[in-house]
Amino acid sequence: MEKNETKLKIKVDNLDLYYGDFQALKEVDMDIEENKVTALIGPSGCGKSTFIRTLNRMNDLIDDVTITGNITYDGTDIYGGYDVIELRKKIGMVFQKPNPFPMSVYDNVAYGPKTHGIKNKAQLDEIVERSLRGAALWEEIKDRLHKPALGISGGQQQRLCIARVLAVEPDVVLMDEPTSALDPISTSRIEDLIDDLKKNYTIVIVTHNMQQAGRISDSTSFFFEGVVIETGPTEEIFFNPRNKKTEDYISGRFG
Amino acid sequence: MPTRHHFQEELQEVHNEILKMGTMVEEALDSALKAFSEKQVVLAQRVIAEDGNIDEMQLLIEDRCTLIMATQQPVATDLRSLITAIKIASSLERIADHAVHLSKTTSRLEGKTQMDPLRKLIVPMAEEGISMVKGVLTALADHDTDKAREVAAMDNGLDRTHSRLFETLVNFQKEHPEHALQTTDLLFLIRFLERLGDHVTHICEWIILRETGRYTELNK
Amino acid sequence: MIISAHTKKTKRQEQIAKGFIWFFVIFTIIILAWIVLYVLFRGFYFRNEVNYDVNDMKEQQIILNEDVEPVVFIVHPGVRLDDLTMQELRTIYTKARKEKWGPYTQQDLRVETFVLPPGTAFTDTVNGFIEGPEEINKFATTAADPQSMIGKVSSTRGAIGYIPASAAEDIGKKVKIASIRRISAVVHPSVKEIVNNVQMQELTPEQLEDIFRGEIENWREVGGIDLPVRPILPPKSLPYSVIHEKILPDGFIPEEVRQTDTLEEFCEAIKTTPGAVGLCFYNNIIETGEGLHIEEIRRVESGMNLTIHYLIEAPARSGAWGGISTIIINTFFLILFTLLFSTPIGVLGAIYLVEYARQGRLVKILRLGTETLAGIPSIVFGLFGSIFFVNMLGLGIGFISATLTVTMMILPTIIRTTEEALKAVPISFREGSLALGATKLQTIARVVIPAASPGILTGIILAVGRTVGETAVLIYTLGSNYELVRGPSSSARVLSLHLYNMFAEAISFDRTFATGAILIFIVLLVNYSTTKMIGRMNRMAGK
Repeated sequence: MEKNETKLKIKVDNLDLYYGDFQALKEVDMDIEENKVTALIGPSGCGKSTFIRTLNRMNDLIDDVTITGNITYDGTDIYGGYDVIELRKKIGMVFQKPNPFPMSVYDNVAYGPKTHGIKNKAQLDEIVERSLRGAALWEEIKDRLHKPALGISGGQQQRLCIARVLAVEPDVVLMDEPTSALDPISTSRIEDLIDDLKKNYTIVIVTHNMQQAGRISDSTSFFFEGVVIETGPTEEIFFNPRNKKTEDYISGRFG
Repeated sequence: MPTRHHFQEELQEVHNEILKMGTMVEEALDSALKAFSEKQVVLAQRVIAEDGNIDEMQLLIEDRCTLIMATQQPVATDLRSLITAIKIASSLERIADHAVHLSKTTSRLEGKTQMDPLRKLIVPMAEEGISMVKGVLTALADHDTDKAREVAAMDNGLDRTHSRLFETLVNFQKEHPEHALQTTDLLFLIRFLERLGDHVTHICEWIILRETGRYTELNK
Repeated sequence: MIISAHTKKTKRQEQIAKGFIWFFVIFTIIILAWIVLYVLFRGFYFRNEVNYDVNDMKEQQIILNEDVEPVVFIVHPGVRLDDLTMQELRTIYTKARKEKWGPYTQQDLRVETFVLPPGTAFTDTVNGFIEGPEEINKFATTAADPQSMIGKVSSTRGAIGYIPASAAEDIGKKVKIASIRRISAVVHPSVKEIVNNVQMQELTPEQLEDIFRGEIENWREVGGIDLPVRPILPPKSLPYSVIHEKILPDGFIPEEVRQTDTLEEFCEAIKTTPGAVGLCFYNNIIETGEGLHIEEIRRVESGMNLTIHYLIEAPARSGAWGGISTIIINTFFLILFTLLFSTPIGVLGAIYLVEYARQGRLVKILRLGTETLAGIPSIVFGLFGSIFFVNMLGLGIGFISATLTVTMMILPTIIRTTEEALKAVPISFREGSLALGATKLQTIARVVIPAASPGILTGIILAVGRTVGETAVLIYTLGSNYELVRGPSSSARVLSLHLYNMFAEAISFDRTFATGAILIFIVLLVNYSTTKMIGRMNRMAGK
């Protein structure tokens, strides 16, 4: 069967992760394809959040973490071959609870570029507008750019966080349950946004909402107790999963 | 304790109703055949009257399935169960319609004793069809894909029987043009009986889809 | 309304609790408000009762005798004088060393005396009046004539002079008239006898008036012994007519009051009549030389305490005179330098403890140490500072020792509050920043510290409050020179020490309260401006 050449953005080989003595991830393999949405599902504590944080080395911040295995981004090892600051510019992250900084909307979006050395105001203005448009927030917020970011609604705050990430022009956007704290309408808007973003970015999203994974992802991986039980195209996973545990989980029989 | 208790119960309800409908169809076929072979017009009329119940049953099952899909967001096997249930109910209803055709023919042939020898030839074909139906109902109850394939394979035999009887009836019509109406009736009847096999084959395909997740065309 | 018994009971309990709380809150607020208001009130407004040898009757135009014009005493407008007693006037003109206005007006200002040229009847009379038994001292400058006198007095700071009443009509605002009080009350010795522990103390001007109106008949009524009052008046002629006018304005002399015709008769009457009390001029008493017994008169003096002058002028005589301007500036410098030293160390130290240090044993010990230090009494710090900085490091008592000791005292507070402020910043901010590719340092500088700045500022304000109020530490390290601080080693007094000194040495209670009021104001000002600043920061952050 003919398949289009899909590039692998991130390749994970045999990843093990220990918090002290506790093994949180066991022999995880995963291929994350370019310009696709990959969803990670699984019950609480299964390791999906831990996994996604490994991809942009946020686990470096925690003491007593041991990681073995191989993770490459665009073919280069993310530990040996990349400076962590550079890596995080390329692989951005949006968190579960919207976390805009206590500054104005403009300053929030401009924060990334500014820390990376861009000082020219015209340039920053352009980046801010572009990123806010990219996050489908510009029209709503262009008149209150210099008002505090904490004064806008939760859904808008999360889109602001997305704009913030887009401003550093990443390749990959990691999202750790980005809509679990939002109302259904905000959730829909962000799902539409993700659908749009995947044209230009590679998206990995952790979600505990099965329907969301079904709605927006191209590929889904089911995590259970630190192990990837099944990976596959989303239609297959949701219509005819191969593994009984996967079937039980997505049918809501546990978890 | 498994979660989604209520949902599981609903799915079970649908399955039970399909089986119940299947039983009703089975009984209708048995009665229609008995009426046809023993020339019991009253029985035939009853079969025709009770077809309404079967139609209602189909609507009931469809509604229930639609509701569950709207409210419970089923996936995978559960989703397949519901989709195939709707399809199977539709096929069962069509099969029940054939029992009606058989019964109507019984009514129309009342008093036409000349057709008796032909009737006798058709009864085995009907029996063949009905045994396919019984077989598929068993496969349905047991979620048995092997049995389903077995039953589907019987359709070929039914087709051959149909070809033979067709020739016989056409010859009879040539020799006895004065019974053209009745002969035509019987020609239609065997056609319907052949279609019965097709419907059963569809049901077998749905059974396989439900269990394996793959749609297979049987009896190309 | 349907309400169960249990709910009723619960509601009642709640009401009782609310009542209690309300009561204690109101009580506390009242006490606190009373303390603050009292200090402010005493700081702003003083009211003292002072005893003088003369009555409070003031004369602007002083009639000396029937031959010459009345004399008017003028002072430079900058001299904050209302009136002078006869005694004070004489002292000013005759004192051997040059006098200062301090004892009279609390101003650190030299007295410049002026006289008119001798030779005229007027001048001689006035000079004689001023001299009394002494002589005018050598510091007096002569002005040629009244016009020149006015000119000189109006242009010389601290000047006092005199002019004839006629020349006083067009002085305008150039000079101020100093009223003179010279009317004394004299009594027979019997009035001052002690019987059964009762002795006549001072009289008030109102009592004196009542006596001469005949309304008080026995010394018992004014706190003395049981002795009938015998009021006696001097002659009606000039110059004693003034006395008559002042004490009995409507001219009616009650029959209880004896009217004498000559000064000698007056003195004789006073000396020989038991229970006698009379009014005459202060100089009469000195002149007759036989010691007529003066009855002190108590006057209520009140006025503004904390004035602009007090804030602007520099202190003198250890705070008894002048103002407290240099002390305020010293206090300001102390706060400034203390903050300069302690803020960087405290804030950076807290940043290290919270953001960088591995949270193990070492950090726990450091934290325990910091918290302990924060609770140590300040006098212990004073002791330490005195021994370590003053003696061992040889920095001596002075500004630098004090700054360093106070720095050490407030450092734990700043570290602790900064730590809490940093810890209160949610981890999500840090994660968000790092995930954007910022370094840890950038994250701390651009996100964490701005988010924590209201809390950090609060800690600094607490520290400032402690500095401003600190006395125990500064006693041992700062010294008490009340001039402007000159260099790192100079000793310099601050507001708290100033208050302590004035109180401990009983220099002036009024000024003690004035200093206290200023301290309260400074604290209020600092707290208010910080609260506003923090409010603005919070609004910027969107809270």
